[in-house]
Amino acid sequence: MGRPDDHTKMGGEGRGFPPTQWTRILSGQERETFLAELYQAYWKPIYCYLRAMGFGNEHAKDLVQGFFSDKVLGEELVQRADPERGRFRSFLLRAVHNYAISLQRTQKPQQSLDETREFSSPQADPETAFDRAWADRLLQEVLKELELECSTRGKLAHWCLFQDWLLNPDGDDGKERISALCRRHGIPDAPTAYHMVENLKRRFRAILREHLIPQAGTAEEVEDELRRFIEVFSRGPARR
Amino acid sequence: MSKKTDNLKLTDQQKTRLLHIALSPGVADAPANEDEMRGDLLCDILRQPLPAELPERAASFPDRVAKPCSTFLAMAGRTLRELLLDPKTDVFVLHRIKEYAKMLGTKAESEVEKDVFLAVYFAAIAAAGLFHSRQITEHSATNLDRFLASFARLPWIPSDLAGLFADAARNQGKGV
Repeated sequence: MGRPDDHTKMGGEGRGFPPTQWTRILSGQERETFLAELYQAYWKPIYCYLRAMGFGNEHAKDLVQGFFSDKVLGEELVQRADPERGRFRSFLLRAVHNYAISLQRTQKPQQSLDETREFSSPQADPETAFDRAWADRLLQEVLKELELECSTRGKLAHWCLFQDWLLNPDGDDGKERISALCRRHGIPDAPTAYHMVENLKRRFRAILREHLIPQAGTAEEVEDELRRFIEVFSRGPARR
Repeated sequence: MSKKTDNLKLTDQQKTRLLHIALSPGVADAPANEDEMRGDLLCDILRQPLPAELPERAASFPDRVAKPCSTFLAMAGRTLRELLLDPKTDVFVLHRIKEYAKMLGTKAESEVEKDVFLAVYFAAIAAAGLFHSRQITEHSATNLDRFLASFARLPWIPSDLAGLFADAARNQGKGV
């Protein structure tokens, strides 16, 4: 396996850290909030990364805990990060990778990486596993926000329609389908239904991009990020 | 609602489909009417945190000296929606939100934007009156009552914010 920064196109030079988060870690109380959010946001991606590196379930969980307590809290990892040297996600990945490797070295000969491997698959690319978990959480967050927005704007029918549209397979489209959805949700006609779906697609797009801008930077980088995630999900599960 | 988002188990195909939505430029979208645009913009703003640093004019509040910086910083990571709807939000922070909205209003490039920033401006006033019995505006009580009640009825105001306006208008009507 190469170094984590060998095979990412998502990082790169000159990409700043999320400015709001960067500002927030400067304050004591805000730092705690930020760290809690960090834990919530990155626990699973880090866990998936470690699993794809070959660590077993329990060992990976322990390592995630250890990483947060030893590195993030103990060594003020976030404060040592240099926003000029790349994106936060890439920085975190490198730190996790180094942590796991160094721990593995210190534990030798009692326990080696090979001894804790539970699987080995050509599809188990750790960075892809990390991105996959991160993007998965992002999508869930965005959908939650969209749902909240719909519920406070009297658009529950929009939301239900959007979900039905989303959950139906691509091939099953057409007039019959939209008519059935109109009947189910009490929507007067197909043009209205299409308009409702388009409306939420527009909102979904806006919210998702709003989430990605602080992470990615420019609009172009957001596009790159989205393409990267599409590639990740198109490949199928990171491991089997 | 029958299906909560928490329980949505999306397949990879569905995730890819969603991501494609975000990737496409959206030129084919049906144009939104103005109220739709107002509602969208308001929701976008309410999802944002209050900026940690506001421009010069916002820093000239009379009560700035009286409040330690930590009070403001403690609120800085939360969204405007959370701050406006939380009875515990400090009146100082509400004051900052009001000034922030006012500042945005001066830079508004359309009537839609102006209306939305004005809604945030009055939402901060409503929250200060309702949760702290503090008037952070020089508008007369009669005018304020009228403004708050009218915002509560606007179709593009989200229900939680409409509730805030309605409650504040009622409170104002009682002479609080």
